[in-house]
Amino acid sequence: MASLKDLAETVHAALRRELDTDVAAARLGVDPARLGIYRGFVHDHVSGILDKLYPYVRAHLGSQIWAELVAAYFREVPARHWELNACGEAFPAWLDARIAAGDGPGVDPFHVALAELEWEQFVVYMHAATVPAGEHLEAPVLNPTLSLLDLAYPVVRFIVDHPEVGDVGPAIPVPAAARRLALLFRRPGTWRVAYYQGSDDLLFALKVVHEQIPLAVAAEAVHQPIAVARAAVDHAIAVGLVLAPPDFAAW
Amino acid sequence: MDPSHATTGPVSHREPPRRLGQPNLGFGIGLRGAHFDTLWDHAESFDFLEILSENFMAFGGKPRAMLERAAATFPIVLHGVSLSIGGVAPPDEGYLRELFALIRAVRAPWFSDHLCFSSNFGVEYHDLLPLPFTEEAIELVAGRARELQERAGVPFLLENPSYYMRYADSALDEATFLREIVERADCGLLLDVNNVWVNACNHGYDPRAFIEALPLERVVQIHMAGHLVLPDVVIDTHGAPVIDEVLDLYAFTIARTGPVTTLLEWDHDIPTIEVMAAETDKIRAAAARGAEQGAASWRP
Repeated sequence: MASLKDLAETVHAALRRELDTDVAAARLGVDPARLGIYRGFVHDHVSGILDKLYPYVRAHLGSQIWAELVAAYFREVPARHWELNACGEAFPAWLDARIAAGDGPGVDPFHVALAELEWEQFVVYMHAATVPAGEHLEAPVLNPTLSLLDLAYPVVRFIVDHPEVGDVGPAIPVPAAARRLALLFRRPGTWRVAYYQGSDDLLFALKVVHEQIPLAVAAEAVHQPIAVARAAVDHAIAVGLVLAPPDFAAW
Repeated sequence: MDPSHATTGPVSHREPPRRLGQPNLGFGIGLRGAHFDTLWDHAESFDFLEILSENFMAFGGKPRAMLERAAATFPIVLHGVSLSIGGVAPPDEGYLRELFALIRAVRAPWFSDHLCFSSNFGVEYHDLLPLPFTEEAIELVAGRARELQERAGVPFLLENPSYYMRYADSALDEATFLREIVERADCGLLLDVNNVWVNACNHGYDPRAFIEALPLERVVQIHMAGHLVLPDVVIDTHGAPVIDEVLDLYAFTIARTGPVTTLLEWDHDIPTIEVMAAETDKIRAAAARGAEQGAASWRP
C-alpha cells in the first residue's frame, strides 16, 4: 500500500501535467478517465479565472493565442494562494517576461499594460476601504480606493473607446505606445470601478487634496486663476476621485 | 447505547436528536454575488445563510459590505473549500488566521470544509481531491480536525465530498472512513445528500444503506444541490435543481435524524432569488415528508 505522501505525489504530478494520465492512473489504481476529470477541473479553474479577470486581453488576442497563453501560464505559474482570483495576479508580469524572452508570438507589450489595468480593476473592486459619504467628512479627501497606475500605453482611452468587451477583437489595432497615468477608484455610492486617464486637472486636484494645499496657494503655484483651480477640484469631486463634505465651498 | 445513535431505521427516541448541541437553523442558501441586490426583498424566504469562507476572507468592497448586512439579518455559517485537511502538510497558518477572524466577525455557530485535499507541495488545486480510505488518512485528518475545532472555539463539520475515483489502496468502505474520522475527531458531519447520490451512481452503491451506516447523530448540517448526468459519470455541479430522487433521499435522511439545518447549494448558472426560494420550498416540503415518516419515533 502506498503512503499518503506517495499517493499525493502521483496525484500532484498528474494534475500538474507532469505525468501521463494513464501512468498515474495505473499507479493509483484508478480509472484514467476519472483521473482525467480532475486534471480538467484543476486546469479549468485557472483558465476560468483568467478569462474572468482579463476579458479585454483575451478578446484582443483572440481565442487561439489566449488558449496557448493560458496553457503556458498554468504550466509555469502554479497557483500558490488559497483564494482563486489570486492565481491570476502574476499574469501581467508573466506576460511581460514572456515577451521580453521573445516567447510571445502574437502578444504585444500593449497587452501587458491592458492586463495591468484589468488586474487593478479587480483589486480596486475588492478594496477593503469604505468610500465615505460626504456628510461624514470634515474636509476634502482622496477616494480611499484610489489606485494610480503608470502604464506604457493609453489603455484607459482604449477601453473608453471600446466600452463593450464584445466589440474588441484581434482586428482592432494596438494603440501607439504613450506613457499615461491611469486613475482607478470605486465610484461613491456604487460598487463600480471608475477609470480615468490622468489628465492635468485631475492630477492637479489629486495633489491639492492629498497635500491639503489651500486652493489660492495651489492656483498661484501653477499661475492660474483660482476659478480654474476650483474647477479642477470640482471635476475631481464630480467623478468621485475626491470626496468632499457638503459645505466644501467654505474650504 | 443511546438510542439516538441507532442507524438502522428511523430514530427511536422521543425528541429530535441534539446535533452536537447545535440548533436547527432551518433552511438557507449560500450568499452569492448573483443575489447581492435581490436577496433582501426575499429575506423571509430563508432562515440562514452560508458563505464560502474564501470568498469573504480576503476581500473588502461589495462582498464584505453584503456580508455585514447579511450577518445583521441572518445567522451565518461558514463553508470552506481550501482548508485541505487531508494535505501532506498541515493547513496553512495564514489561512487559518483569516478563517478564525471571519468566524468571530460573523459569530458563526460552526464552520465546515470537505474531507479531501485541495493543495499539496505548495500548489493550490482549487478542487477537492479524494483521500484514500485508509487508517493513515483517518489518523491524519482526525487529529487535524480535533485541533482545528479546539482552536476555532466553535464546532467543525466535515463534509462527505463527491468523488470520481476510488484508489486501489482504499481498504475501508466510505461510510466507515467517515465515521472513524468524525468520531475520533469528535467533530460534526455536514452530510451532502446530493454527494451521496452522485457517489452512489458513480461507485455503484445503495445510497440509503450508505446513509444508514453513517453516524447520523453527528449530522449538524445538510447540503442539497443539483448535478449533471453524463454518459459515463455523474458530476456534482451545483448548477441545476435538486432532482426528485435526491429530495426523496433527503426525506429518508430526515426521517432518521429529525430536523437538521439544511442548505440549498447553487454555484453555477445561479438562478434568480425567486427560483432559489421556490427550490428551497421543495426542500422544506421534503423535510416535512421526512419528519412525518420519522415523527412517530422522535416527536414528543
